[in-house]
Amino acid sequence: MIASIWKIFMLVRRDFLEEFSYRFKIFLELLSTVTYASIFYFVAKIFSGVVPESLSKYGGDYFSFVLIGLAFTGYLNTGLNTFTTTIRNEQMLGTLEYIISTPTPLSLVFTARLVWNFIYNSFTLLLYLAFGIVFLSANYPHVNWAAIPLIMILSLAAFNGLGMISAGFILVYKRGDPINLIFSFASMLLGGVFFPVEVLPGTLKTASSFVPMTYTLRLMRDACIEGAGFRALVPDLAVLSIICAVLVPASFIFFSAALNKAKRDGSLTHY
Amino acid sequence: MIAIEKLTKTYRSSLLNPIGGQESVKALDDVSFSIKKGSLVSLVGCNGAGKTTLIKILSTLVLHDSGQAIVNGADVRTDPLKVRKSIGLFTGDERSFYWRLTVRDNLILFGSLQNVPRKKLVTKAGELLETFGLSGAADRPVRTLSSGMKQRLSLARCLIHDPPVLLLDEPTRGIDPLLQAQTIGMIRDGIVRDAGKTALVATHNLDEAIALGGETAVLAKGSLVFFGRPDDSEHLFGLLGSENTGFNPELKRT
Repeated sequence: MIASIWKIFMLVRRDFLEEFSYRFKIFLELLSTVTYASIFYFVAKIFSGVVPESLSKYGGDYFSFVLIGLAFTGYLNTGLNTFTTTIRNEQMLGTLEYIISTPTPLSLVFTARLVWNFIYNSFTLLLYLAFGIVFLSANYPHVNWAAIPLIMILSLAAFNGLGMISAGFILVYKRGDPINLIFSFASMLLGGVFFPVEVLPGTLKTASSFVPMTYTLRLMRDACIEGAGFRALVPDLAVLSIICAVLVPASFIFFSAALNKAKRDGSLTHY
Repeated sequence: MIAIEKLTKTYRSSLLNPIGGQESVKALDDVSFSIKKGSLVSLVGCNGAGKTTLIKILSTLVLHDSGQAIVNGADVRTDPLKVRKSIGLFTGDERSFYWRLTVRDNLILFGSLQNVPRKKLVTKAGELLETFGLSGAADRPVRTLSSGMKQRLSLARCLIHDPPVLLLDEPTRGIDPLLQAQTIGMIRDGIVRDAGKTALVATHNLDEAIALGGETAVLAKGSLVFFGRPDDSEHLFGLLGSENTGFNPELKRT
């Protein structure tokens, strides 16, 4: 256990050193966070004074509503992309084969990448929210702080399950990854990032119930804007738990099968 | 220490990946030989003869179709974790480092992945950097190293966890003749004779195979055509055979 934690620390340290060796990239990412938040602040000003019915549940403030969508979408899409990015990076760096030839399981390498992304993206998420609250008057008066970690853990697990399935496709097909494509678009269109799911027409509204992002964002908004208690959050938490219970083991099975196929094909390093 | 018996591997194209080619390629065909503990075997063959495939199977990176491969008492298919603990792999790919990290950071990171205890790791890394003449470059990013220095760093990485078995795929590729000679001497004398490690060294260079001094396995189109001590590089050259490459040896001689 201690040895595994040490390895994770070393891998996270690697990611930190690599990331901060590209300082201009970090500056641009911070700039883009501030810019996105500002864009939606001005979009929200168009509706100031008007409270659409679909937003009344969320206090009527579009900017507070969409800021949560923006902040958590980036956060969760990282879970979706982390494993594919890790596989691609290690293939292109030529380190994948070497890592697989060590006694360290690939799952631990993934875990370390996840820890790093969690740290880095938490910082981005906090920046989004802090910038929105301090400079752009986003308003979250009744936050249910206790619910947030639970929602985050379940959401990350669900998105990481999808991410591992994505990585399996990348190992076998190199550039053909339907999972990432489908769920990225589905999350944007159906997950309620920019507008409440309630405004979708019937069929799309039904389809949105198959997208994990729908539950995550609804839970987050209920917890942050309405300050909803656990009793009110239980139905969506239960659905998210079921999604995790199915996705996480399925993703491990799928990824192991993909890894074995790549080993049979001798294509681990191909990209 | 290494036992290979009737090892066969065919790469098959996938219907869903047509750009990978439509033909199946037999990379290894019924290959059998063994390497005793503390000895060295050179693996010689033309491009596509199956050398890298064999090294990858022994390092658990490629799954074989049939036959058996045992490394340090463990079967590569059924006990890959034990195999991985026993081997030091040299892939010959100079990209296989994190280029923005320093030489020392790379060595320590890979050492940690090889289960080297934390306290021992820094000392061991320092010793290896000294041995391979990289102490002066220890705090430089890997991207600033020459090809020869990266090759030396790869060899140091192979030894960071003190494995009993080394699988070296073209350890002298892309380096100058002087460094080639030093590397061969280091493998033959320092690693195998003095440290008692077992090594399988794949190479294109026939003189190098002779200089390494051990037995030689010659692969041609996936088949083992010779295993033993060759007389000289001319002997090995004859074993490769023009029919195996489509290349005319007479022309090459001129």
